[in-house]
Amino acid sequence: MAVRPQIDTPDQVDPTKWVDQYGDALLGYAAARVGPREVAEDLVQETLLAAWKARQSYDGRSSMKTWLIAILRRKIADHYRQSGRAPMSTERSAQEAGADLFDTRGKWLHSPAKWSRPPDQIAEDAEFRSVLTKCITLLPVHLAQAFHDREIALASTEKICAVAGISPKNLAVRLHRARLLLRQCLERDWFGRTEGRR
Amino acid sequence: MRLLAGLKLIASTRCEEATRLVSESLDRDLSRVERTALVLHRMVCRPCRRFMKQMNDLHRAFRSMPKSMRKKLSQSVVVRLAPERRERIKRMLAEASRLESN
Repeated sequence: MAVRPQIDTPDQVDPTKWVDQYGDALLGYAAARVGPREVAEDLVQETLLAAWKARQSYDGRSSMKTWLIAILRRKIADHYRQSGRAPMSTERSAQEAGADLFDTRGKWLHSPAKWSRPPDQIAEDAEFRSVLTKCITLLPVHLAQAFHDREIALASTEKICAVAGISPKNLAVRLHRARLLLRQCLERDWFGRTEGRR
Repeated sequence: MRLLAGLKLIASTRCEEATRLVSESLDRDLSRVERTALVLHRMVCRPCRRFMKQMNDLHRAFRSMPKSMRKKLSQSVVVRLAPERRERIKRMLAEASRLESN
């Protein structure tokens, strides 16, 4: 997107347009790197405000988006420094992966129920798709993103890791967690319900 | 040493570990040891057999979705700023730019 000319004349810049133009892309980047949605949104907000203050330093050599991502990256690093927490680590997420779904010995707390019909008709069933959409958006952002990239956008694991800046191990943990939670949600809101209705 | 680690995995695989292997099998080829661990666990665990079938069915269903449908689904689940947040940031930016022009 060519926004360069505007930058040369800051008086004409309308920074509120940045929100619609780059907000979602920045959030996607932040969400893949910090867990809670609230924190990711805070970082996007800080990034855009900092960008506005620093707009004179944008020289137009890189794209506006690249410039904003560079600022966001510094904000993310600051966030981890200030909170004293290590950047989302494999170990921590691995512990979280099945924390509330399995007992301490790794057995199911609630055994999966038998689904009344196999989910092979996603395309034909609009109602199922809307439940599916809801269940995906209920996942923590970084899990929703990993799941979306892999199962809906059909990206390779290599590509997802490169874009999100995470290790294959880390992605595997996210996908595992995402699938467990999504399964639970679908069972509660769709397969369980369908069975009861019949 | 690797044999030992393999035997350990096979002997210690519980449901949580089995679901991890099921999930990873959708994204990469499992090693022989991992496959064995999964097969053996599946033989004795009905909940995990169900889990595996459900995950495989879902995975296949996603893959057979028409492109247009995939695009629509993609748009509805992609990570977006919440509307309130979007407005809040716009207000803050508008305020910042107003302060500076005064």
